[in-house]
Amino acid sequence: MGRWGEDRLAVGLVGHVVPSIATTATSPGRALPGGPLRTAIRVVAVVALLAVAAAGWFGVSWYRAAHDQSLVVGMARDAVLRDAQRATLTLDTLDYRQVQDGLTLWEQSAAGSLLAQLRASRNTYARAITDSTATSSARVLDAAVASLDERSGTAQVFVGVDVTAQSEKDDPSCTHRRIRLEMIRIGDAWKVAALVPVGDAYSEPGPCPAAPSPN
Amino acid sequence: MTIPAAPQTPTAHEVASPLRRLAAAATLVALVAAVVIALGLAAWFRGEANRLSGSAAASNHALADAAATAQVCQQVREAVQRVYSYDFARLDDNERAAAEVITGPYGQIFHQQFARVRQLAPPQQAVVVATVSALAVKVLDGDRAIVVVFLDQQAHQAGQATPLLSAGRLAVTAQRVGGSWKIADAEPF
Repeated sequence: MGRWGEDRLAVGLVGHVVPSIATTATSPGRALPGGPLRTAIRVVAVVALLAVAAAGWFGVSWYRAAHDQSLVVGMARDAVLRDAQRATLTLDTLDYRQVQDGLTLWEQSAAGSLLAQLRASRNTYARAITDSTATSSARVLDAAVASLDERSGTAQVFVGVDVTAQSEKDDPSCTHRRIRLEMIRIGDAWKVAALVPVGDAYSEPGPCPAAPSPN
Repeated sequence: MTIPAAPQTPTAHEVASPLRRLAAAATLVALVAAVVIALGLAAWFRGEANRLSGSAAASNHALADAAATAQVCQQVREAVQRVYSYDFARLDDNERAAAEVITGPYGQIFHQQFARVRQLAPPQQAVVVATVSALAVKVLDGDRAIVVVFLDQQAHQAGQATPLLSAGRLAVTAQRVGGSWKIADAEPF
């Protein structure tokens, strides 16, 4: 028995006998060895708590935004509009010198009854386009989604498109079209199930006016 | 003789030992890792939340707010049909009724155009009936909306058995004024 400090043995937590590094004298107020470490742990623990709280706070606001129904509808609406405009351009573009490629592009934009019709009549269309030596190009002037059922994946879009058509025999003419697209969601994309004119189109000679140049 | 006070016996946990120090260091490392992960998550959540709520879809409530969209559709349809219809025998009524559903500088443009109608309609005994055949709200943001309209006009003239038909496309800017939607601009396209 002796003073603890003189006993250079101490029993560690796991029962090992480890050399003690206790000093012989302690005075009150002197920082314990490992004190800085313990302070650091306390500080970092507080920071960790704050960081977790921040993660929780922003996690909640992210969850709210990701599940906001009106945001979901708005983003679907924008996707429908984008795909409808792109499909309109595709379906109003053709070149008799690249019929098969063109028809394949048409089929890629279509779904449902329009796709079935394109497939069924593919050879007829190919022959007619080749014989007519027709080419056409299109420009979408404006478009908007009229209705959208997010759950069933259907939508209705109105599109105003100008189509310049010409052939080996005919001079170019411009048709100002008004069309209604029935869109259905296939996977991540929206495709055209039906394309229907709204009333009559207005045609005039000459190519369609070009887009106004950005100032 | 005073008995010297027993020396403060350091208890086991006050004695720094390499093992405890190791455990403490490991705890510190784990906490630092937790801080890094939590801050990373917080940053990602905040970025995603900002991206979603700051996106164009967030400020455009067309279709997302079904009731507001329906109100825009109904009122803009009526306003457009009013502005684009006229009867040579009732031009004063037509102009006044149309002015009620127009707002802003577009009113001036409308009155200028209507001056031409006043010149041309009476000799032709023209009656023009405008019907909206399709309408969809492209943008709805607070008191402002942009609407795509397909407009059919039938023009009846004296001495003509069949009316003239025209198929129009309009981009209409509407403004909500005092609770009702009015036409602030109408551009053919």
